[in-house]
Amino acid sequence: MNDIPLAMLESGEWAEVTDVSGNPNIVSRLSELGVMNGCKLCMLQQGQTCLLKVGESRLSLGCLYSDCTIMVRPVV
Amino acid sequence: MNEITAPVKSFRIALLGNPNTGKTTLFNVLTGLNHRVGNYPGVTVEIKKGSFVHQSNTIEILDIPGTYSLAPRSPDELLSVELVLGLNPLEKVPDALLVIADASNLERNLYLATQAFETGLPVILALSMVDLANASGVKIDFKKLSEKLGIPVIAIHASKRKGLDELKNAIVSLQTEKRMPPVPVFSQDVISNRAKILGLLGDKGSLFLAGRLLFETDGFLAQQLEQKLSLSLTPAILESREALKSLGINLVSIEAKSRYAWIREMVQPCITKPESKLTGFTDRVDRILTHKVFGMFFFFLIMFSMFTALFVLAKPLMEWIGEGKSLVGQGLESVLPDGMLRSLLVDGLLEGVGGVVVFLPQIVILFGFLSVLEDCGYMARAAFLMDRVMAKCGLSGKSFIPLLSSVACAVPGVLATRVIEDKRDRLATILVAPLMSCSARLPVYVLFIGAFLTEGYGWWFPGLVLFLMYGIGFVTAPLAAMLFKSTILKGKGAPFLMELPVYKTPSFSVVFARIYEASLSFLKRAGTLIAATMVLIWAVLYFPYVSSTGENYPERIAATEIKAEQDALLLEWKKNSFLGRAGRSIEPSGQTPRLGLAHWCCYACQFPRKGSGGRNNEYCFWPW
Repeated sequence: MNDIPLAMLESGEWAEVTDVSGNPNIVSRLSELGVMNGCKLCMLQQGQTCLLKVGESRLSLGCLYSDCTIMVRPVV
Repeated sequence: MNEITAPVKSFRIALLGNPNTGKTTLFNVLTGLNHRVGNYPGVTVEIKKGSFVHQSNTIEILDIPGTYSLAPRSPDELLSVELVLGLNPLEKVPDALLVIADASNLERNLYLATQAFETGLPVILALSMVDLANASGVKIDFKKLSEKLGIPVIAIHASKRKGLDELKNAIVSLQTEKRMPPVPVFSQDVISNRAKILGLLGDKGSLFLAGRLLFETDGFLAQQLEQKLSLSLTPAILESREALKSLGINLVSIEAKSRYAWIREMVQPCITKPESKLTGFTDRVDRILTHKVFGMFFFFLIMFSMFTALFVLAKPLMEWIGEGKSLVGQGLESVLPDGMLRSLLVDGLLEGVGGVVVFLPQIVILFGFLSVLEDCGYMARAAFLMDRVMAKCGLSGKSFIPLLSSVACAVPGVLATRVIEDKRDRLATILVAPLMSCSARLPVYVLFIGAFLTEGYGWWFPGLVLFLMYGIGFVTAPLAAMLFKSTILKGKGAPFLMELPVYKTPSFSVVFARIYEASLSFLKRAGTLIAATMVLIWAVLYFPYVSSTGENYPERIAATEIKAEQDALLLEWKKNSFLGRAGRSIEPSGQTPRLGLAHWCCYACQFPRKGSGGRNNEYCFWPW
């Protein structure tokens, strides 16, 4: 298993989301914005509050404070 | 054609769209100044209603707040859904929906459109930011997309007024030819369970509403609808959910998965786009502006530039207004005889109101700066950078935008808190927003700096001091928020989740509209409330003008030529005036009534305090 939590993804690294779980409200909000299993994203700025590129949008997410866990598999 | 003529027919449309798609610009351009803000009890959202006439048809537009999805999780979001579905008793059901979508991020934007497709209403799709999409290599075949979806798809550029006639024609022709949108496809199990719920909803039901009840796991919508429609829905919803769960369907993610899959199927034949890379303009700029170190450096640089500009750019303009005011004063003094009327007009109204209007350039620059920052996309970056700091106070970066807007005025600042989903966070932000120094305090700061710190210091120094004075608010507001969040508003807030829009050239019309609205409201206040207050303050400073020993001060001042004697008489007169006496009553020593009376004036507003203290460009601490 190469899955790691999203927060561990380095800046500039691309990954595929393998699991989003936790508070259903947040999970469904994230899925509405395109963050769901199978989606490809890139970590633009790593940190306590991170910046992600998902599709054509840039999402900023308070990683460590959210009630949900996003697992990703880094891709080359 | 924005003309207001006698309506022949009235057609109602609701305008929907994601945030940052140019929805407000489109609404403003379509309705011109012909709009008003709707008032709905119990919610904080601002919903605008407007109308325009096209080909003798009156089209009414309801501007629904920007949202990524019509999934209500709060009373504010529920109102949007109610308005779209016609479930609100204060509004009739719309005849059609106009969905505006960002062409440069089409798939994500169509998510909301797929929900609109299920409402049972005709839908028109307006695509904005086509130029940005083209610049990033995205090509969309609008005709093919329109055929595929079976609805009108129109490319628009609202601020340049492109595509608007086509859009208006499409709206008007919906009255005769209703082209219904396709219904997004879900799995058969979902469809059959949704149909069961739809049956329970009766004539108030739609596929969208039934779907929502099935997919919403927190039960908020079901609870609200049960109350409003007096229906029993929960047992049937729970049964359907159990049935789907037993089939291995994840109810939290099935909706988004199905919708995005359907969107891809519809859009893919109509769009060509390059592989997602990080070489675009926004990505390159973001590498610096969102960087932990460089980003913060630029943030402070931008804030510092803003406050310096407030001084440097506004100075010559303020001087012109000041000179104009003096000219009018001299003109009035030359035509009016010495007496009460002249004193009222020159010392009361002109000095008071003119002394406030002189700050108009700064209001224009402040609102101009803030709206440029917002419209070009930087404000969201500032929120991102500040999230870490705000998190320490128990808030999120989303609270930062309302706080920064409060620098202009706390009223739009409080209104801007509607983007904060968490109730406690929103309340804490509302409570601390007035601690930020608003533009009403600006004239007072400017006065102090102008009086103490302009001579002998560099050109940058006043700006820096102003920046630091504003900094007091930037420090105390988060600290107060921290106090609220650790006591009366204790609890974990919603996580920070926010989209950062692409950078774009700010639209002149959007920036101008915001400056115009702010200036107009400032001048209105100066012309009404402040003018009335100034007359009142003038009166309590003028009367009684005869001393207890029977001396008539104005006459004695007019009779003497010696300046020192005039000043002494003036001081004595004002000390004995009603306001002077009130001022002395709160000054223990009784020697400095000026401070006491300025204090009394503060209760009316911050502007009159300045007006009460100053005369002929002498300020608070050099009274009369």
